Amino acid sequence: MVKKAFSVLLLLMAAVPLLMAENSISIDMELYNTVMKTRNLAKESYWAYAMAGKAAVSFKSTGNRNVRADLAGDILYPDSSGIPGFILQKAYVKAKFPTLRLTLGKTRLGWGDGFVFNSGDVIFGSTSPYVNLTGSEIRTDTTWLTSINYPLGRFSFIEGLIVAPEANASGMRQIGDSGAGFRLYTKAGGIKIETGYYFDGTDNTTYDLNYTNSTEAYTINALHRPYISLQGNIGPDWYLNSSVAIPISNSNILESITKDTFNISMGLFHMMEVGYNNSLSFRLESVILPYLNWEGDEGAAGSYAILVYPEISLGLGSTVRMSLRSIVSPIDLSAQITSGLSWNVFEGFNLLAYTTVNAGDGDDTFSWNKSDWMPGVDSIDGISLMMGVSFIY
Amino acid sequence: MKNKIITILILLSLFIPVAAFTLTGEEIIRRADNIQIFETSEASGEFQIKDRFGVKVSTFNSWSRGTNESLIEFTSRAERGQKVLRTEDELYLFYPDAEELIRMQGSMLRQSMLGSDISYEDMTGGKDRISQYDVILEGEESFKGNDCYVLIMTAKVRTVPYPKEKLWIDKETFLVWKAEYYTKSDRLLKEMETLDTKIINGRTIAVETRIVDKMKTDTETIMFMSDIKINIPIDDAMFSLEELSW
Repeated sequence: MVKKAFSVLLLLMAAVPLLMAENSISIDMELYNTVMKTRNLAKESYWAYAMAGKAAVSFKSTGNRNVRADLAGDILYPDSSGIPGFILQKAYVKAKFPTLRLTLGKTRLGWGDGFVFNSGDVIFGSTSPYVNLTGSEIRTDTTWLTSINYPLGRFSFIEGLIVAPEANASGMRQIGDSGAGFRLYTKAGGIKIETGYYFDGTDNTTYDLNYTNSTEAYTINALHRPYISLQGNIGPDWYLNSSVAIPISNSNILESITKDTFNISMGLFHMMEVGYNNSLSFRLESVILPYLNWEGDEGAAGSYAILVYPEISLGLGSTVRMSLRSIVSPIDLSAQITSGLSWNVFEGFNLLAYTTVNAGDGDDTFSWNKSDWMPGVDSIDGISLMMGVSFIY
Repeated sequence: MKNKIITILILLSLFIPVAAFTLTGEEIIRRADNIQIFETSEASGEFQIKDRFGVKVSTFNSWSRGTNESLIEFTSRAERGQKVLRTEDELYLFYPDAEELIRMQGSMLRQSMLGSDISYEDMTGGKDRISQYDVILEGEESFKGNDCYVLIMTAKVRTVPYPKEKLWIDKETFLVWKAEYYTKSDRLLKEMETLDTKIINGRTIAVETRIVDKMKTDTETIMFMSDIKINIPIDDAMFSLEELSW
């Protein structure tokens, strides 16, 4: 028995270098000193100081040309309980067959176009104004899915997917709560055309879109989510997406939800050289929900018909980048403004600094002094300052 | 009189071949560009960006076909798995962490790779320098023992990175041994020098180049190319969205 265990141990020891050779391990640490104006449980305002950050660990396979896998998770800075959090970001295997590609596991599929607002992202939803503008990627949600990608030529493909249901209140994962859909991605006359459909079987008490004109809560058993996404160039690159969520029911109330959730997102992007070796980029995005509120009402934050995202970014050489990003709610004239600075000092190592300011008051979409503050939900009460580092190794 | 005419004819005939084989500045640039264009190619590359904080290394693999198609896969840790597919008038970017496929056109094609002096457009030699620059053959010089043509190129359009370039091009192999990049007011911005070459399929190709930024102190970029294979069979699918997003 001892002999057997020793042999297994020897085999394992011998396999370690082989396993290492077949994997690429990377750790991306981001750590910040954060100072922000916030409130306590009694909703009294105070200045808080905290360390914040995460370590994103990824194990990617490298050995097999036809099979790829990634196991990745985020270890988060401990919250008030003192226990570090963990989020499994990815756990998937992809296999490339002669005619198609199969993906199975927890990952992301990027449908549609858009950096902050993307009406084509009907799987995860990318129309909410409440996002963290400090990251290089804004939307990073993943889910458990099975997808098949079938090429229809060099620049076209069709993709089908099934999304595993989440456990309901009684712990069951019912087949009717699954998601399923497909998309066609192609090009015609210099324009990228992407269109698809997603069946969202999740029981929704609100729609994944944050907006609604109604104050009542409904349980919607399932939604049909068709979308279209176009992209081209008119000097700047442009993109245009549209989608709608149609509840599976003929009720009049649910019909009004179809109208409320009809949304269009659009954007322009242009990059130009400034001086020698510097670049300046501009991005302007907007999401419009035409059947929602076009006038500012008390308590209507989150249900306005239009949001705008302007961004300007200046790259000085290959090491320093400054950016100014904002989500603007033109109806109630409020905005969240984030300025950022990153300096790539050493290989993989960056110094980072961000300032986020909410401009607006009362119950505006963004507010310096929010009137309906929710302890445990809201965090920044007007302003936050972050200074830190990131290191990939 | 008859003898005089014959002598003149003989003298003229001596000069005719010289005139016929004297290359113009444009022809020299065309030939220098042509040695960088292949039916297909495959290579691995490395950028070493040196500054006063040390060296940053970025590595990549690249495949190209003709003047308009290339695929670049970054292999260094910070960018690992990011890919860029370039076609005649568009650029597709793939970010593996976001599983996102982004199509771009226009200005992005001229952006530099990894902050280097090489643009995505340059990677396949798709640029048309003759239509972008006025070329003057200034003379001939020896550079590190290599007989070179010295050319001055002045930009005709504003979409090129440098208004003026001075090049030392090998008279035999048409390799660019040295280049100086100037502002409109003749201020030297950067200097490029070929440090090492390799003969592949009868062509002399730069495999190590150094670019020094004359506006900054202690800053230089060294680019190495290795495992270069030219005119090899490359599957059509290499330049497709399927390969890009794999």
